[in-house]
Amino acid sequence: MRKYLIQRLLHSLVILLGVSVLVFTLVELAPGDIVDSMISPEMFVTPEVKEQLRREYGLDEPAPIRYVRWLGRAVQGDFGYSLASRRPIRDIILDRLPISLQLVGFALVISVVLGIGTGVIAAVKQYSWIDYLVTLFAFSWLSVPGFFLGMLMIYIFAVRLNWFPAFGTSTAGAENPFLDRLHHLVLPGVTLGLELTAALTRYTRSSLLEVLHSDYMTTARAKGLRERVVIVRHGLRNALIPIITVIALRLPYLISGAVVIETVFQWPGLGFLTLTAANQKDYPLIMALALAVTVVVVASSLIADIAYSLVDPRIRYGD
Amino acid sequence: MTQDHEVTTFDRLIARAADGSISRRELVKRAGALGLGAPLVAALLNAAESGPARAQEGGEVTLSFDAGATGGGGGKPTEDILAYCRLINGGTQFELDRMVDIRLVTLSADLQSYVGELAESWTLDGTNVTFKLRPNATWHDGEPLTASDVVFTINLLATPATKSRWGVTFRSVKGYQELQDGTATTMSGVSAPDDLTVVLELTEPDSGLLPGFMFISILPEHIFQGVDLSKVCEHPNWTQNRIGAGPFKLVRLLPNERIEMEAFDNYVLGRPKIDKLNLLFFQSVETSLAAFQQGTNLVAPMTVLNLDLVESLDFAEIVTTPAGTGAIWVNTAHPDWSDKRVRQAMSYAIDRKAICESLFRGYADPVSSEIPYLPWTQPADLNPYDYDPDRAKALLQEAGWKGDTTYTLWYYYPDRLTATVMEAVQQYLDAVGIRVELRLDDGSGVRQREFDEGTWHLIYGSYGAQPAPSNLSVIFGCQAQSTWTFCNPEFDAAMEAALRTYDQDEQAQYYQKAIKILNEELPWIWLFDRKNLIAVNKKLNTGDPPAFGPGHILYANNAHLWTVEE
Amino acid sequence: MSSPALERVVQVTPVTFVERRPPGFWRRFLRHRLAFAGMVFVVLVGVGSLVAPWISPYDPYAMQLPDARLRPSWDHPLGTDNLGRDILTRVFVGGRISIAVALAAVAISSGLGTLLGVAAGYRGGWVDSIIMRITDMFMSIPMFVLLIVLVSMLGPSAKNVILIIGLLTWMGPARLVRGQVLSVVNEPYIEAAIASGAPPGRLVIRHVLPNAYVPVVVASTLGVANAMLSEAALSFLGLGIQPPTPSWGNMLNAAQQLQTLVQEPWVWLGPGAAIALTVLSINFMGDGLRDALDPRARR
Repeated sequence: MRKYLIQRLLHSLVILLGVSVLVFTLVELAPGDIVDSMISPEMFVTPEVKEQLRREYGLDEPAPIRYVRWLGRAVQGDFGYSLASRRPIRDIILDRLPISLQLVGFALVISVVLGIGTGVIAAVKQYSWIDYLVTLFAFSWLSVPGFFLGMLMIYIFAVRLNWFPAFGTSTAGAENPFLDRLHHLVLPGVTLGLELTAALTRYTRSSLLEVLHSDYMTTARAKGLRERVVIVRHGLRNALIPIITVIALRLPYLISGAVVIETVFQWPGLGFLTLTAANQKDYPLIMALALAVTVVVVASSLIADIAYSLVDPRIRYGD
Repeated sequence: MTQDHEVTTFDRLIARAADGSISRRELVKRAGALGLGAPLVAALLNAAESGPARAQEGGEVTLSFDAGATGGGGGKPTEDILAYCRLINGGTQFELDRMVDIRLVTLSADLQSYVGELAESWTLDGTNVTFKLRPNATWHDGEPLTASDVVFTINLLATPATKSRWGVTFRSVKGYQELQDGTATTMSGVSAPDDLTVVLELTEPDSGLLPGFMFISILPEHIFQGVDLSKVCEHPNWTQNRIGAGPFKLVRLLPNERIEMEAFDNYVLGRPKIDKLNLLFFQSVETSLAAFQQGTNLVAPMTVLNLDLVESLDFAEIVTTPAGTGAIWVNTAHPDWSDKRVRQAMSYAIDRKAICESLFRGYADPVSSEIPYLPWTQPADLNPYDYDPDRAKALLQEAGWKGDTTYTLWYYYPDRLTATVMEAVQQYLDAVGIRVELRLDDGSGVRQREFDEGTWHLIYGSYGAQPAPSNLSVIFGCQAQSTWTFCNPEFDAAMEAALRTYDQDEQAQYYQKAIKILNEELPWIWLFDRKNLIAVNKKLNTGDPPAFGPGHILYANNAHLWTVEE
Repeated sequence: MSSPALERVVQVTPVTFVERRPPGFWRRFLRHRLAFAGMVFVVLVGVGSLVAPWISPYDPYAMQLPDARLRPSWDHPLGTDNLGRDILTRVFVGGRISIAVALAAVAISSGLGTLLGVAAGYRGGWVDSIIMRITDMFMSIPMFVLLIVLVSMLGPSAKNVILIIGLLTWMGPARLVRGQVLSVVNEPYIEAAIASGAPPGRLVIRHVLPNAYVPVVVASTLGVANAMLSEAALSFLGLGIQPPTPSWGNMLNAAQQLQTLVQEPWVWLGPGAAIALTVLSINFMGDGLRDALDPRARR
């Protein structure tokens, strides 16, 4: 087990290193740099001034040197300064990370509750109208672009019904900041969570069906246990194992979705920041963000694997 | 031009306004012509009006940053809102500056002239320029604001190490050259004889000096004293404890969300009537409008694409201000475009009227020369280049146009309306045999590089509206030929002559000559004079005329006089 | 294999294929009513997109300013856009582009995935581990984040969108194919063929690919749906297909205009329904294919 863990950790490190090289290379290949994007189209600045700015930002050194230098500092948590805002990138990311985590966490909770709930119902009532309805909804959510859903949500629940704020994370001078935040979280959280909800519904349904038809369930039923007890105690517990993994492995999708949803709802998290950074060609920030997000994903898949090995004794390691 | 003792005239105007023989708007206009601060005018007007104030004081107002609705570079709603040091390039934080900082002069409410903010009055007399400051001005931290702060600011901006975009404003001040050469650390021509007087000695008369002060926030000397000028933009004053002297104090800034401000009790023109002011960042015009519809922000910049929607809201009104001209910039140095008949053909080929009516829905006027929003600079005999594709084809034939190349037409406004206009322009040009491919500049620097290297052909862009005709030389003067490719000695002579006189009638004569040359030579293919559209909640009273500025300077005036109904 | 959890999930999704196309494929596919309906819809949309531009009396590109912003009528069932062009015509033309972009992107990802999967599975050893490490790496980066960064760097164009979506989604097919190849290569008759010195290229084409293509087809089907959604999302962020070329994504983008969203639903209803129904249909088709191809799922 320990050997496996070490192996798994090393493997994660290799991935991160690879991603860092990949991201750095991409940034190198891109046309234009921060100096170009800093200069607004209505201004004219002489090429000499631009050269001087490039020197100031250290953009004139060869790429490998900059990579090694960057990586050396990144390992110590120092990602340098954002070229656009001149703030330390670590501060920017630490500012934004909690905001994104709130959104992703909220979406996660919503989808787990809704997804597993409807999945169980659909599985238990297989082939009933409720099963079809759930399946239809699950498919529908997977088929509508997230941004479009978000815009409809804003229109219906914010503009028309005025139940929730249309954007942002807080109201100036709110009395109860916690409730205010929760109020702001509902629309983006639900919109972001719908895709995962749909996926979880389908996984729960098929996974539970598989378990329900297995021999030991038949045995359990034969023992005369009540159907509800059978489903919850034996069925769901076994079906949950792969579902936990699905959740962990779906995280990249959730984070990807957050880019769009954060943009639609003006949620100032990492996703929103990614888009801004990409548009501004803020390369140090782009590199740091890509790496930070990958760390989150790699870590969650690591945790999923470990959790998995703990709950499922059937998995053998070392092969 | 002096305004020292105009108050008696003004009293008479007020009396006439009160008995209704001139309209309020007219009054403000005339007062503006006298050089009186619109804030002052409005204050006096309110005082002159009998009865209780229409809206109670206090309350909170939330505004929206220009999220690109006005097609300007302003309001990048990003992390960098404070970090783009305005000393170097300004632009992105005009809205914040307007509220937090103070300037010597600002635009008049009718946008045609300048009025004093910190300056109580000024005299422009040949090579002598004198500003009298209002007494009792203080900074947000309580320190007194004196003439020496102004002198300090001017010297700081003009020093090359600061790399300020605004330094060139002072090119005609005595000692400017020495400062550039490094043989002096301050300009000999700037001085403060006493706490309330700033004197500028010029090498020659310069009518471009006063307009330049509109963009220059006065900086607190006691904060910036002794900082390394090459790092002045990294000073924490920009981002953290912002000390200005404007009507509102910065309370806190949430990146990408909002800026919270509160009324500054000792603002030199009087404490703002509202207590709190929030500026919201919006990534898109649409979110801003949705929030406007919810009543969150009371002001939302918009485009005609949402005209029907806003018109259908009974609590909203639409205010317009000049946005500036939209034009196709042409690389006149390129052999394919150097023949002016080709450029004139382009001008005839595009149906501006149809574009203005169908795409801008009347919120733009067809134009064929620059600064049309300053009527006094426009000659009567401008060629309107009315839509005439046959004429265009004939001109192209005369010029020997081959039409075997597809040219790149760059544009850099990412909004939907611009994209639609570009599509229309593309089709009009195609119809007479000028083929272009459209390309949106996403900031990757490709266009910028083409521009720097002179390999560009056509760029659709805008010259933001601003009431300083002298700035035209910055683009169309021979001094800018290496970048903007155009050079016409007659134009330069007319501009130079206008720069050296303070008399507006004389200026008008020279500017009209210059504008006529542009109209004939067409270094740019001018298309339309755009309007900014601003949706305003009727709860907010911003005065009459509403105090929204031209171009990117959205919240231009009188924020301290705004009132809001609870 | 590095991530047993992932492996397990891949198995949970019932796409484990043992046989070649099982007998009675069409019969079973057609019995899946939703899949059948989906296929009919997709075929209709495809044919419509190909044919409509010739049938429609309107030019999808040329502006007609006097007709700008017309409401729906008999002449223009979905009204006209800002430049006075018939929206229905543009929906069909946009369908061509959206479908073509998605198909091309998936062709790239499936092709690349198959190639890498075969190489990894057949060659094994260090080739396998390098390819699989790279696969893991790409799977660890949130795809859309990379997509945005790449498109904003290379510039938005149909070509770039196709390339980038294609190059960022090959990992799924690669893993599937590798798994299939591994299971085939261990069959005694293949082992025998290898031992007897049969040329590896022919072996792969003859025996390995025919067994591996089935899961790739299913994955690709779903990939087309995802590529469509990706293109739409990119268009929403202004990074997709650029006007004047219509695509469902950039036409739906018009609904970003609050006024259009609220007061002019006909403008976005066409492209919106087209995307949603097409993606839905493709998902159903994928589901049907899966059921029809996988004997285990027939319960």
